[in-house]
Amino acid sequence: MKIGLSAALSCSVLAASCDLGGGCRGEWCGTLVIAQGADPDALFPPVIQTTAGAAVSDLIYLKLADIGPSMNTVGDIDFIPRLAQSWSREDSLTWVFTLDPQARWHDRVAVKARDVEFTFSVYRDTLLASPKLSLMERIESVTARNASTVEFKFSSRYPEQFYDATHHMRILPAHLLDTIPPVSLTSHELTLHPIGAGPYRFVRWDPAAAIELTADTMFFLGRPGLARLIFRSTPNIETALAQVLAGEADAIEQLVTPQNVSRAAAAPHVRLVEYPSAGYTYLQFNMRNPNRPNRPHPLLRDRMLRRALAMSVNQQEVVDAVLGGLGEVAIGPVSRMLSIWSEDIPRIPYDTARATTLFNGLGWADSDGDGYLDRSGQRLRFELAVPASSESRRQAAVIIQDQFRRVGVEMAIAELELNTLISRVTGGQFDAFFGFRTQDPSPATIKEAWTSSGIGGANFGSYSSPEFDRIVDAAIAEQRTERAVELWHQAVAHINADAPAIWLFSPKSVAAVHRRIDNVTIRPDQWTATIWTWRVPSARIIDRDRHGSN
Amino acid sequence: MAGFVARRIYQAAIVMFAVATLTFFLIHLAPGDPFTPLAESSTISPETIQQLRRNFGLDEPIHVQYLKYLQRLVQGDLGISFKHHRPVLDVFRDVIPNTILLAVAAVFIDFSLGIATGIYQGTRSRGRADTLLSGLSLAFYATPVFWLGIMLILTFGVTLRWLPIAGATDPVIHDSLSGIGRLWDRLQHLIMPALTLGLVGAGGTARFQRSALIETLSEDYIRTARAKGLRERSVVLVHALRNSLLSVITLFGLSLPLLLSGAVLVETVFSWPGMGRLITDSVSGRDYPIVTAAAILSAAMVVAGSLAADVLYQVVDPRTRDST
Repeated sequence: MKIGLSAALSCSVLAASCDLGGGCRGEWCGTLVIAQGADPDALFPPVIQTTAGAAVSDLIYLKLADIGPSMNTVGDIDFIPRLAQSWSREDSLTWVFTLDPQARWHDRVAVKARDVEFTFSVYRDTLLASPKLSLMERIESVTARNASTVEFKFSSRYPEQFYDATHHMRILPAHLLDTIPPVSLTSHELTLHPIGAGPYRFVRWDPAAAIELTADTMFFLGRPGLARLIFRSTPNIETALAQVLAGEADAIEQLVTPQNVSRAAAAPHVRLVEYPSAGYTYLQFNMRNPNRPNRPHPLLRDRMLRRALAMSVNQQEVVDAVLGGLGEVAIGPVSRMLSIWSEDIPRIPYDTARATTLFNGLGWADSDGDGYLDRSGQRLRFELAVPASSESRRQAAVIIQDQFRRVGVEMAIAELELNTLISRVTGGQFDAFFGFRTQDPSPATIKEAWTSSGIGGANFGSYSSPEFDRIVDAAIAEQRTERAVELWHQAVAHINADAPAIWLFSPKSVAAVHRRIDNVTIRPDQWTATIWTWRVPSARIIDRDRHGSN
Repeated sequence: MAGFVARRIYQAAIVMFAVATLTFFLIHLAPGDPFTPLAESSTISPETIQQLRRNFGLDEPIHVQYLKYLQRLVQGDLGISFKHHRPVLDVFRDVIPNTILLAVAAVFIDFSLGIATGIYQGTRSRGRADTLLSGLSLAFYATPVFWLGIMLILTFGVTLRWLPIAGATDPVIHDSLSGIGRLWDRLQHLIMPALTLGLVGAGGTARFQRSALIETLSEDYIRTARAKGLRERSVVLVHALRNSLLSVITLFGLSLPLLLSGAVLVETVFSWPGMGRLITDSVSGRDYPIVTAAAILSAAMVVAGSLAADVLYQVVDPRTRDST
C-alpha cells in the first residue's frame, strides 16, 4: 500500500512524534476504518432510532440470542446463543434462559439475570418511550429466578415469542444503571460512554467525526479478529468512496449507485460484497379522500382502476434504469431479506393492452384526443409525493410518469422535503406516495403497515381487507414454519391482487471492503453483526493495522 | 469608541432576540416535527411517538413552548438536542472549534490572496497579467464550492495521495502523535477544505480590490503624491491601498456569516465536523433547540462581522471616527 503524504511527512519530518509502524504484531491486529454515512443519534440501545446508531451499539451490547443466517424468526431453532448459553420452553407462555457463566461486562463484572430483568423494565418504561416498546407488548414479565436464570412470561401463545424475547433488547448493565431514573438515562454520562458485554469496548466518540471501539480481548464468545474499529462520519457517498479508493478507509456499508459500484470494482484492493436489502420501494395509493379523510378517494378507492394502474407500470424497466441491476422487482410488501420471499407469488403482470381495456371498461377514454384518458370531462390524473432527498425515487418517479403517460394517465410529481412529505402522508393528505420501507426480519411487520390494525399508524393509505387481515393473523399465529410460509404467500398474493400499492423494487446492497480483510460476511438486518469475526491475516497487515493493541 | 461598541452590543442583543423569536416560530410552523420520520417505521406505535413528543414538551401549545424557551434562554440554557440527547451548548462545543479553525484559515486565504492579487492587477490594469488574472479570479468566483472540493479530492487525495481526504484529523494515528505531530496532522486535513472555501472567496475579493485600487489610483491626491516624486511602491502601498481597502473591509464584515453557510457544502464534501453539517442535519431533522441556537449564533456572527467592519473602518479612515 502506498503511504500517503500525510503519514509519510508526519513521520519523516516529525520522526520523534510518531511511530508509523505502531506496536501490534501477529494474528490479532487489524484496524478497520469504516466510512459511515451518518453520525449515530445515540449509543444507548433502548432509544436508538437510526441504523447508524444500531450499527455501532450492536458491537458494544449483546442480545440473549441472535437470529441465524436463515433469518427464520419462527420458534428458536435457527437462533444462535449470545448472552444466553441455553434456553427452554416451559409451557406455551414461558421461556427460560440460562446465561453464559463466562459472560462479562467490559468492567469484568459477571452478566446476571438481574441485568435482563432491569433491561426489560427500561425498554418497557412508557416515559422513556423506546421505539421498541410496541414490539414487546406481548411479553408480560421478565423475572430473574436466580443469578443466572431468567424467565420470560408471555400474554399469549404465538410462534415468534422467542424472537420477541431476544431480538429487540440489548442487555444493559443493571449494576451501573439501575439507580438512574430511566427517562434520565438518555443523556446520562454512562450511556454516552457505554459499557456493554459485546465484542468491542467503547473508546471515544468525537461527534460528527469518528467513533472508536477496541476489541475486548476477553470476550467470552471468542477474541474479536480486528483489534480496533473506527467509524468515520462521512455524509457524502462520493467522499466515502474516495476514502476507500485512496486507502484511507476500509469499508462502506452501501455503495448506493451502479456508478459507485463500477468505480469500486475497478480498484484492485477493494472487494465487493453483495447482500440482500432489508427494504422495499413502493408506490402507495391512498384509499381515502385527501381533503375529506372520512370519505373514500374519488379515484383510487376503485380496485379495478388500481389494478389497471399497476398493469401500466413496467417495474423491470424502472429497476434497470434506476438501479442498473442493483435490485430486483418486488414480489409484494416484502424485502429480499425476509425468509418468505418467493418469485412464485402471483403478481399483477405488466400489460398495457389489458390496462387500456380495463380503463375503457371503467369509462375512461381519450374523448378529446389530447393523449390523456378522461371521463365526464375529468382527466384521469393524480399526484405522486416523492421525497426530494432520494435521488433513486426521484428518477424512478419520472420513468413511471412516462409509463403512465403512454397509457393516458397523468401523474403529477410533487417533490417534497422528507419531513414535510411524511407529515402529509401520515395526515392522509396525498393521492399516492413513493415510499421505502425497512423491515425487521419478522414478516409480522407486514401487519402494522398493511392490515386494518395499522390504519392511523403505519398503514398510511388506509388499505383495508378483512380477508387479508384474516390470512395475516393466521400466518402470525401458525406454529409450523412451512405452513406459516404458505399463509404468508397467500396473504401477499391477496394484497397484490388488490393493488393498494405498486411494489417496485427491493434494492441489492453492495458493500466495499478492503481485500486484506478475511472472513467477510454480512448479515442483511445488521451489517455490523458479524464484524467481530472478520480478521486481517498477519501476512497482510498494513501500517494502520499496527496502531492500537489487541 | 467604547460608547460606540456598547451601543452596538445593545443593538445586537435586540437583533438576536428578534432572530431567536422568529426562528422559533418558523421552525415550529414548518411541517412535521423531530419525531415525524419515526412514523415511516412500521414497528413504532403512534402512542410511542406521542409519548416522545410529550417528553420534549411538544404536545403543549406553541405559545407555552415559546415562553418556556425564553425562560430557559435568559438563564443561558439553550435546551437539550432532540437528536443528540445532550445540552445544545455541549453539542456546539464539539463542533465550533473546527468551524472557527476552518473559517479563520479560509478568511486568511481569501483576503491575503484576494487583496494581493487585486493590488497586482490594479497596478497593471489592462495588461496581459491583469487580463489573465481577471479570468482566473472570475472562474474561481463562479466555481461551485462542492465541485471544486471534489476536484481537489480526486486530484490531491485519490490520484496523487498527497493530502488526506476527509475529517479534521486522522483518527487512526492522531492520538499517538506528539503535540507538534497533532498540529501537523490538523494542518494537513485543513488544507483542502480551507483552499476550497478560500479560493472561491479570493476570486471575489480580488475583483473588489482591483476595482477599488484602480479607482483610488485615479484620485487627485494620488496624482499629487506622484508629482511630489514619491516612489510608485509608496504611492500604492501607503496612500492608495489604505483607501481602497474600505470596500474590502465591507466585504470582510459580510464574509463571516457567509462562511458559515458556505462551509455547509465544504463540511459535507470533506466530512469536516463543523457547525454547517450540524445545522443542515438539525433543520432536516427538526432539532428545534439546535436550529434556534444556531440562528442566534449566526445572528451574532452577522453583528460581530458588521461591528468588526465598523471598527476597521475607523482604524483605516480616521474621518469616520467623529461620525460615530
